[in-house]
Amino acid sequence: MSARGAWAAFRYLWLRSATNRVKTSMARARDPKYALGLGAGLAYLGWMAWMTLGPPAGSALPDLPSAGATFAPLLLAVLALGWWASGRTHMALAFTRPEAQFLFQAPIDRETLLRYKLVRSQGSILPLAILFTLVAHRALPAPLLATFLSIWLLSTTVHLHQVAAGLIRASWSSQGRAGLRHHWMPIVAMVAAALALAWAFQPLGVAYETAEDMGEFLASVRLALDRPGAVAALLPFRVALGPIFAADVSDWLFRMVPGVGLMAAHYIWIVRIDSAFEEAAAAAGVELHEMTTAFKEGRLGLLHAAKNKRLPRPWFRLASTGHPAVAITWKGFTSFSRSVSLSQGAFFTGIFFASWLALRVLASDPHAAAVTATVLPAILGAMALLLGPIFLRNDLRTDLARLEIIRTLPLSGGEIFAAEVCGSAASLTVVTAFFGVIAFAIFQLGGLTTPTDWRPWAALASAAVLLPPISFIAMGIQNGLVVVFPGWAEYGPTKAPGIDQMGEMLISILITSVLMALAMLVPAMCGGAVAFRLFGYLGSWAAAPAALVALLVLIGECVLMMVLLGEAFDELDPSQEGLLN
Amino acid sequence: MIRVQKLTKRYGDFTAVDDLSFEAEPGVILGLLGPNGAGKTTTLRCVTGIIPPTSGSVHIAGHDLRKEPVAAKRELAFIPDDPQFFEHLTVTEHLEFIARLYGVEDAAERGAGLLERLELEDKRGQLPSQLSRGMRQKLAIACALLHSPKVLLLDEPLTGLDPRGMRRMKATLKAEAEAGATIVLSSHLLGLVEELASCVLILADGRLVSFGPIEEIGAHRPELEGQGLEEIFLALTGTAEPDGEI
Repeated sequence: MSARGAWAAFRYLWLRSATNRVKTSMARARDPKYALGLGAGLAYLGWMAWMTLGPPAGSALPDLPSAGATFAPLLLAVLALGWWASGRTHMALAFTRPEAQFLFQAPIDRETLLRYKLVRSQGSILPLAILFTLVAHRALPAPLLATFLSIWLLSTTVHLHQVAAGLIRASWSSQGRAGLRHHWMPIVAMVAAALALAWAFQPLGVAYETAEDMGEFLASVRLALDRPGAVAALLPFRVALGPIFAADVSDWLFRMVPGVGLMAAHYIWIVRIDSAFEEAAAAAGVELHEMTTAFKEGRLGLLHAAKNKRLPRPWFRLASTGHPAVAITWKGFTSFSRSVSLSQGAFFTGIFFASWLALRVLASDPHAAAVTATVLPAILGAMALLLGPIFLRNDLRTDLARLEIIRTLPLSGGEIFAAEVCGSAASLTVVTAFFGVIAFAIFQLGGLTTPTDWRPWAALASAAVLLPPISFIAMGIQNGLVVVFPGWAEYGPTKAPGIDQMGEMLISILITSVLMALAMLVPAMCGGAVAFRLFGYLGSWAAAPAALVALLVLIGECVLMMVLLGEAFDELDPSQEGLLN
Repeated sequence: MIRVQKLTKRYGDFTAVDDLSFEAEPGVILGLLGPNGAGKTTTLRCVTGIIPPTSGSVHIAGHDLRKEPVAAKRELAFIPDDPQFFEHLTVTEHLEFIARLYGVEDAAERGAGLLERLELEDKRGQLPSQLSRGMRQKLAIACALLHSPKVLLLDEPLTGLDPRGMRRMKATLKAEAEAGATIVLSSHLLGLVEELASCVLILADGRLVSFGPIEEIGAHRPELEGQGLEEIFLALTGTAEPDGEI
């Protein structure tokens, strides 16, 4: 096939895919709930555009251009050296599985395939460039269009660089040392850049020890960046980033010339690399697919464990007799326990305590150090409780892809719903409790309370009792949304992403927040009322019956949720919602 | 053992299964046949309770699937054409999971026997992602047979199996039927159905075309007398091609 014929096929593929994606979104929008998602997504985009294109309100970060122009090239250089050292750039070569299946066996030459890959990567580079432009535009002096073009130029150049590194690595894999010898120049250049930077920054060790504050240390870093070795090593990175930090339009035009030249040089370099990349590209595609699926199903940790042949045992054994719903909870919790490890827990515990010790050494006030060290894990625990339900998905959301199994199990909808939610709620409880226990330990050991003060222990006991039902409700809301709006779920057969899905996500977050607030309001009010009534008689001890009442109300909410959403799950027709192939 | 009465499943204006009725007694292997899009998978999904029918009823081992879904599901097992597994459970753990769900008391012995029969013994500690397509199919079979279901429904059960695995699978299905299970077998492999099934049900466009013992289904068409199942199927479903055409 001629290159022209191949490009006609590629254009057809992209055009039809885009058209069908829009058609799918439009067809979904006939359903009122998805139309609402589309409306919310469009409203959000409109708001973003208005915020960006509207009258300037003054930059919140006036020093960003100057600081960025100084330090961003160094950061980019460190990232680039990391890509070359780790070899992770092979993912830039990834072709999707259908692409590898159809295009690699088609009569298309390697150069055309490579160009196809470079053009297709614009499908992800352009939206990212738009997003970063919207986020960063107000902090940068150049006009909107210039900022967008600068960010696009940088993203494209970085991608081209990654592709080049990936191709050289593929050459090394397929040809061994001969492949490395063939591409010795860029390898020598990267090693020279690393050595030059190391030489330029070598005095910083002493500067760090003698600096009285961070400002003085940063001044030393600026001096190091002006040393000849650093200037030479960072030159291409300054060229790539230059247009972003331009002061005005004429300055931007002046900086764009070398920037475009650098991008063009990368393109020519890639096209001239004669490397058999198909095998590496197909393998990277499979790896990307595995990682994406594992991430969506919340089992990235499991993926690594399976690859390393170190599959952890479940935390508890499942007996073959007893209530069958326990099996589903066990399955869900095992999914979580296999994605984390005790060594990770020990590592994070060490980090928190090391931070506390460092604060004690650096700060003059040990009390303030203990407060700061307590607040950090406490905040992380609160964030885990709020955001955990979005990321921990070892429940019905994951099992939507296995509805043909789940729906044939000898359990009622309510039992399945409750058992699925219990699995992820137990996982959320473990994560939140982990941070809570660390915060409590530092609070106690840091001298923020007296050994005879029982109130922190009462608070800990209350939290321990209330955390599981709160976790259940938080996870139940997420699973309930899946049961009521299954078409919005991220799992199951792949859906075409679109504005409606973005809107659906926003609505989901809004509904989740409101429902969670309402669910917490009722037990808080009931517990508060009991505490208020009994405080006169019991003093601080009134917290105990208040916590008990709150617990009972929470349990009542859990049961109500299980009954209502269990019935909804029973009535769900997965074939109508497109959840079955 | 299975009684389906006036089963209908509609998607908007499209009728996937239309007024379907049939019965299958214990020990029967029923072949479910039909061209692509005939409604076989929808029928299997309705009979297993995965999707609710628009109208009609399904009884499994005497239990109405709509009124007593849990009791009905306890008696059945379904192997879809593309079996899905819990990616974080090993082969053994899948069996332990199923044992708990169905309350199988001698699960350890039964599981070990099934793993041996299906040649999965050395795969005990492996995750589904580490198994080949054929091994995954064998795992699905082991999970389905662990609780000795009275009704076993299979959608293309030989997919991915090697010749030895196919032979063992056929022997297993025959043994289960002889032990009293009702088996519904959906497949495009007419040779397999002809070899195993004592009775066939042919669907086309969601409607029942023919139902009965293989030797009787073409009886009302004299020209089909003495013909094999393939000829009968093609004639009854109107999918036969003129000689020489593909």
